[in-house]
Amino acid sequence: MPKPVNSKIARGSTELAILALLDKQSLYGFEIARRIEDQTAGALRFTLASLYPMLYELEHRGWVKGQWASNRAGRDRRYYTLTGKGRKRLAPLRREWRFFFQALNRLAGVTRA
Amino acid sequence: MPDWSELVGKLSRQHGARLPHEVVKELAAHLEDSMEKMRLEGLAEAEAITSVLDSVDWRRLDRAIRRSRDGWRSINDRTMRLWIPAMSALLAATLLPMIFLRAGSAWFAAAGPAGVSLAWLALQPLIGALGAHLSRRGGGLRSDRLLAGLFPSMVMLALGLLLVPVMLFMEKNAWASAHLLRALLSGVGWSAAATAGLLAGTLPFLGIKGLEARRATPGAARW
Repeated sequence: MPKPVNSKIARGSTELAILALLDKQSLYGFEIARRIEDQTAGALRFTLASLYPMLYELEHRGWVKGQWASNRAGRDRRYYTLTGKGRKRLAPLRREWRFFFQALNRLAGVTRA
Repeated sequence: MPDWSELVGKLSRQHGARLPHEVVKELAAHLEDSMEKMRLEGLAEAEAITSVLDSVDWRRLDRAIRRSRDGWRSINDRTMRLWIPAMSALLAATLLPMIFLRAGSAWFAAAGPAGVSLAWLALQPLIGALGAHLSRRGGGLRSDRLLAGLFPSMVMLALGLLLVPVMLFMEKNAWASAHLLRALLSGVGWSAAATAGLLAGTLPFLGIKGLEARRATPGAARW
């Protein structure tokens, strides 16, 4: 069982989590949530009321773009793709989090997973 | 297998959510995938559908999606959810008794103080219902609806508690000095009666399910 992660910390990292996933490939909402849950061993989970508002916000900012396409099962799903603007935002976000973890490490001996 | 778009559209409307068609379609696709995942984990179809649908807090979802799409600010959101409904209830609590007293002055004169008190108490559920209804329409959570409905009695209690020291120390009111306990009990009693009346009107607007989505899962952070 993974240790609980404070929800405020988790919320602050949502942008990074989504943008980093979409940097590798286009994904639809359910897949984004599933991969984040799998890759964090269940430590981070989305609810419907947190995932889609975040995706729409990122889309509103022009960082991701949603487009309907068929998935492997032939069903229509809305795939999100990282835009150029989103890619530009991802690099400083990664730096900020790296800096944050380094600062915490210096302060309290916390290292990145 | 249900038509997920139709089901999501129907359920969201039933809960007062006003989601655009494209969003309904996308949420339906997500819920369909969630249901299939549960089926793969061994749940029966009916059980999986119920579990998936029960996990959705439609009002919270609607509010969050509209905020993200429309770029609403949280201050506006809170104003719509709490402050406008609460102030409307307070305004109604102030004006309605005056209007009724004026409109039925002959009846109230005949009925005496007891009749006036009873009429005032009878108005409280209407005022509570108004506050809670406006809060629900503004997307208020259960706590917002409760606060909006009970707001007039909270103000009444606060004013009452403020009035006693004013009467005692500033006006040096002889009656209040001699009957301090009675004055306090009377204020608290009227406030409690108003609260009970307001609560009666507020209650029908509190019974909306959907807390499941907000329940924390042990060992996991939920955004």
